[in-house]
Amino acid sequence: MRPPLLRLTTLGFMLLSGAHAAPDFSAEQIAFFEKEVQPILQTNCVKCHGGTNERGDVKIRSGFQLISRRGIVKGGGLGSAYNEAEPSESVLLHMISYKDDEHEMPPSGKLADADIATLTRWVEMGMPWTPGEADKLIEVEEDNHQITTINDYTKSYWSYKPLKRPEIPKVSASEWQAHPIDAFVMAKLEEAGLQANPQAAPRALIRRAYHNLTGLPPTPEEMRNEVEAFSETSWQALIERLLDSPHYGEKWARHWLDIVRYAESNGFERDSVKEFIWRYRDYVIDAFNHDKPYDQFIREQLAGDELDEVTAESLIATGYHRLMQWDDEPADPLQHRYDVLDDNVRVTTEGFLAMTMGCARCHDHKGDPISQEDYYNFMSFFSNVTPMDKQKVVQHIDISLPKEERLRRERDLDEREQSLIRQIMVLEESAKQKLAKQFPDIDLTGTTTSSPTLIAPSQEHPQTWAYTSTQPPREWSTVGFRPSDWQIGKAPFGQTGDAKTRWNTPQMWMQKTFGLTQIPTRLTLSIRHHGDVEVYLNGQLIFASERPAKDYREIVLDKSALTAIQTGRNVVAVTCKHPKGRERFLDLGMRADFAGKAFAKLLRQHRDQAFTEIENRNYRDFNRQLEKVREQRQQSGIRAMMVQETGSDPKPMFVHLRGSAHAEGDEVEPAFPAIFAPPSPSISDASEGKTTGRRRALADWIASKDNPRTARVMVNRIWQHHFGRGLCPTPSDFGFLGEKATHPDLLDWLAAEFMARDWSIKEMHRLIMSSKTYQLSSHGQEAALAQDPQNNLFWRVEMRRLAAEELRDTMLGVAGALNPKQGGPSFYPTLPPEVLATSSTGAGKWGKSSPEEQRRRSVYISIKRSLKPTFLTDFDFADTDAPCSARFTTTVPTQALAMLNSKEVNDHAKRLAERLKKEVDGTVRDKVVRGLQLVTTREPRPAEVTRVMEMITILREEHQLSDDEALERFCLLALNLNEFIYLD
Amino acid sequence: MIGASPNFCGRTRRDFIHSAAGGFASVALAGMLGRDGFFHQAQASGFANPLMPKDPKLPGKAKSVIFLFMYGGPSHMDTFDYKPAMYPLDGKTIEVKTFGRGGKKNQGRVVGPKWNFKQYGQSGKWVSSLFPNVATCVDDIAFLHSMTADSPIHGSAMLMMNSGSLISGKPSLGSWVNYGLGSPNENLPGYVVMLDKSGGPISGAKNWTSGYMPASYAGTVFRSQGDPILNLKHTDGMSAGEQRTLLDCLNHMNEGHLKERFDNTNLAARIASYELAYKMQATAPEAIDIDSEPQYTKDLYGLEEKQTSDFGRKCLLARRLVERGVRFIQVYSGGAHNDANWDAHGDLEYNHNLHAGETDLPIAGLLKDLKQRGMLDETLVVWGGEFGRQPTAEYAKGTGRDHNAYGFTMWMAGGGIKGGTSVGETDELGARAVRDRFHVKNLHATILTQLGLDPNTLSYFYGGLDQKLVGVEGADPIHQVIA
Repeated sequence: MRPPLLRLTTLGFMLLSGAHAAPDFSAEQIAFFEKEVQPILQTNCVKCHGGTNERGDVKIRSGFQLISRRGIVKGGGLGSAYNEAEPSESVLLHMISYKDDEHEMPPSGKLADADIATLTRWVEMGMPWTPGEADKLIEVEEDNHQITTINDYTKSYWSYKPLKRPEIPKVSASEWQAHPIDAFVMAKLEEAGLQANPQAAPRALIRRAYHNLTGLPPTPEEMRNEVEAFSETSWQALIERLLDSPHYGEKWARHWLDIVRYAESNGFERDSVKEFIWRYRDYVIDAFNHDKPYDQFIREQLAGDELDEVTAESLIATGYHRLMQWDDEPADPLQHRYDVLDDNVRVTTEGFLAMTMGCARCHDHKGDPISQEDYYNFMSFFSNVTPMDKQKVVQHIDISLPKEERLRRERDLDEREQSLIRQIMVLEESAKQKLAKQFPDIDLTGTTTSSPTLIAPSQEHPQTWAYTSTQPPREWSTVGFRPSDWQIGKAPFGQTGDAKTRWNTPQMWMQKTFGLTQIPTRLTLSIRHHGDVEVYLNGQLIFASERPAKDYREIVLDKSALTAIQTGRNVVAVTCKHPKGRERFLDLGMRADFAGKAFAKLLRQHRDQAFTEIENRNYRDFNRQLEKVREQRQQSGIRAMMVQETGSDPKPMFVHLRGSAHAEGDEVEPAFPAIFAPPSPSISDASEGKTTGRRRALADWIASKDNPRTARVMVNRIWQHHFGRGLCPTPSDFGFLGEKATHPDLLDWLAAEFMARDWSIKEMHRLIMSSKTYQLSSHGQEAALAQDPQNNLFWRVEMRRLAAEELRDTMLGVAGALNPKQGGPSFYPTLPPEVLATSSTGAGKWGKSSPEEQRRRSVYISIKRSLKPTFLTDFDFADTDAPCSARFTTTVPTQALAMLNSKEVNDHAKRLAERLKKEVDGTVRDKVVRGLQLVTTREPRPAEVTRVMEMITILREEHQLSDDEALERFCLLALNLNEFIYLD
Repeated sequence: MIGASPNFCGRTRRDFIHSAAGGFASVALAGMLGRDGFFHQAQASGFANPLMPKDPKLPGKAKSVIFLFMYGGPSHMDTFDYKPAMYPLDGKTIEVKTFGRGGKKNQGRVVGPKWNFKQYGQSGKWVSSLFPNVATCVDDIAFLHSMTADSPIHGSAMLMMNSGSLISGKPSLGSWVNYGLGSPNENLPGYVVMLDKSGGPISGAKNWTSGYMPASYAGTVFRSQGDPILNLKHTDGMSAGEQRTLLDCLNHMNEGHLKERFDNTNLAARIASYELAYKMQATAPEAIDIDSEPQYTKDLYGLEEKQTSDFGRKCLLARRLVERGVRFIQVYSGGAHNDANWDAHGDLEYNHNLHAGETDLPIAGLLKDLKQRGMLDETLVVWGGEFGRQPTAEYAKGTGRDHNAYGFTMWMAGGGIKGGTSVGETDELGARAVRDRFHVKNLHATILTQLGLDPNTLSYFYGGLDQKLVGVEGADPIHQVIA
């Protein structure tokens, strides 16, 4: 499908010479070059810069040719390698000097000093070269010029040209004329002389609709009613009902989460949690459920903080900018800052515009008319966003409340939480003592660390900290940062009598490290501060408070603090501001508990020996209250991870030569990709200095009806998730390297319709699902299979395997065990020890959720970059590090092993067996019938039931299984049926 | 067959067809023919197994790779990179540029090598007393003393060594090998990872991910004790007979379902995958059943010694897996954090005595065993960590060394590698590579080359780009060590 002119692997080249005026050199100078200099270049440089390899391919790394004087003057990715005015300042000499870590040539090692001296002398001479060869240059002729520049051809390519609503074609099959989608599809089929399949049976259609819109199956009863009433009206009513179901958003949000590579941790060594990021997931689910107009959906995610009307919801939506992987200890902090921005440029351009703009980071795009300048123009829309290591990425969002009210509310919850924890701890401490006496063999301290005090507060033992009063670099709180030029002083810091180190500046920063040999189960902070304070652990914010504490407060930190901690070296970093009108004061300590697991287990087993009856009641009661308070804290919308800018006055942004942040090229300004002949961005700052308004301008352009890509891209995705593939089969690449749309006119018509219907996604579902095309059967047809085996013309609807989440949810569903609870923090499914063992912290950073929580829908499973539930990955869960526009559907034996042997699937089978026993009062055969009804949503054929009964008999008689066990085996079989896992 | 399948693994067949430019589709098709058993049957039903064995494009010496991953970063100047000038400097503070976990520094207190070196073999290679057994194999080994990497921080450096990039999301080396060559044994995974007893490395499964490729190319964690593969045994212990009964009924019902959907190759593939799973349950335990190995082999790997038995068992399993056609095997020495791996920040002697003590004999045993069985020629063994260590102390006291990506040592043996050679040099302190510097990408390029894959054309189309393990710029193999 790719245009024949595009051949990236072949470099056409020819040698050019003459015409270029080089200065005249003396014979000695030329002899010096030929004798002394040329051999050095030949040995060390030419191989990669203008030479040929064993196969005869020319290699010109960085576009730089060292085969002639002209080549050096022309230069490569870093510009001219020769400085005519100041030859000793030439890039060529800088590279070979090895003075700059980022730029060292040749890469295999520094040249001998004598060689460097020779080259230096030669450059300072003005680079004499053999006459006649000084201008030799290999002309690199990239024969894809036609598609990488802005010209009539590229401008008129289907996805670059402006959108116009096409005429609906006339077809001879009159019943295909009424619905425009059908007319477009049939026109192509008639052209190819193919017949469409007949309409699918009602049963297949109904199951298709349920799964397609909600990711869940109908119950046998729903199926019976729908089949009995099946008509055009009932079909429409069914679609309406399913679109109204809250499960609709849970299904369709996941498609979007794939594109934005949604995950809830940062990756790398600590893989710490992205706090509250689940609110973004809930935002997406709600957006689909409430049919938020797509243009609004775009604006809120890209610029929810810069809109005319900023709401809590629009702020949560900007969590979009925080989803990427992020290294809190990068080898090259500057470069990594742009890696993060690059990640967001890629997601934004691929996700909304189906442009692979990321390819233009290092050089102009090789297959699309996108220049490197376009790329950096685009990046500058985002360049003023606060980096992740600024850490203030978690913000208060309940903006409807005045600040005092918000603080009061938060304080109430804080206090209630802490007081409950204290009461629970008192009870646990006494229980621990009792149990320790009774079970002397069990180590209830659970620790190998001698002292659980990580940092003593000053009343116990004043600690030494590194501190500074001048704004430290951005990464001051991270593990990689060493405060080598900070001062050293003893806590407490402040102006009061008990302060040991004087502090009289507006703000101060301090840092201290401690070592650990195992991950604790609880961390407690003891803190007294008079001004606003923030406490970081290994770069992650673990405590922030805007209200002064005149006395020491004990704060049991929540679980996220534990995800930041590591064995070995840990860094605690604190900053505190001068409290207005008060004396400065700051001191803190930190304590760890390790007792967790052994004690919890013992307590579970011997509750009666650990507690008196009253204690036991109180313990239960406190825990229940605590859970409620925590839920309230999560639910009341207090905090979320979101985007913020560093102010309204952005630092200048430059092209990065060869993608390196250390090699700045020309300055750039925010601008849209030139190929679209776009307007200039209208950027206005209405935020009173808080933000630039740049992302708002970008969002407005993307969400505009004049944008030739936006509507096309989204309707294509909607089509894709109805039919299994998009009208353009490469949904995130509408460029020349993507595949061409099979039905470009239909795509354009749908895009026009999408905008005409106010960007309503639900309207598109209605439109598509009411077509004959959507309702076709999935059966094979000899003629069509021969001519169009890939179903490019949509003569049938492809069968579809359930996606990983759907499969899990459907198993829970048919077992009658699905917990329909919506939204809120993610849950942790229990993972087998073998899987936990693959993590460097074992179970240390994987949470624990109640059995009820674990029966929630899969979209609520916690997504940790370094540790994913194998059931999901076995069934082709989307990778979390790059946009996933279409999931794979692999069929491999590990899936069969998981479906047959895993505890997880066998638990579903057991629950299904329990359900059958409870709901069916009759014989085993009756239970089998009901079981088959549940998984296939149809009446089983007698022969099928007989075959299953045969199996049950063999299991009982030959393998001595009990009735219950045999029923469980049947349930396992039922969940493994192709009919269960594939939809017609 | 490809034509009958509407798409390749759910994405457009573009990924697949695109690689045809590199000659793979046709090779893949050829490889799909003529297999017996399962694939024959599967082929008739149109099962497009992504791991179908493929012939290499170029003549390659190696058929399999065993990557012995010394996670945490072993010290080169205390193992294989002899630096006599360092001994007298012990304890002296000198000017030297370093970059590690503790940031960039310009001076430090030298920690002299803590072990003595001796010369071994015909090549006269200097090896420290940490590896007296590996030392007896030096004439089969090519040492790369001038390795460099882009990051001296575990998280990103691990990703770099395993997938060629500091950022995650790229397929790992083993995935590329399986993508390029497939795997000849359909009853075992083609890419196996054995982790240390103390746990996984930082980033866990990211180290053996298939990234943007289908999950079929990802590494499978293989345990040396108990059930080697997850879910290999039924959670409540269903017997094989019982399972057969169940599978017979399942097949019957699935065949019935297929009858009306004759053209759907995925359904047929799914039926076939259950039979394959059934066979794997018998094959995989057999692969780890080392009772049949003779005593002298067990001794060779140090199975009877407490210190070496764990890693020895993994090395022996690696050989057995190679014999069974597994394409890429990675064995970790070290897991979790700090002294549970080679990350010697505190007490260098304690740390390296521990890890070298656990691995020296087994590694030598593996090399000797492969050699005497005539397997070394076709098996490429790679040894090394994600980086090396600094010549200076990390802290004011003690012998701990911080990370060093400016220069470190790795070695390769077998699989067409020229034994008894050493290439590249670090400076006299081992602080950085100064001569013939090689990048991780050159190591990757060498491994692919030895397998008959061209590192500069083996590509996978994703995100608008022909992605390669060695990056868009490409990288050359290390010719000096290729026999």
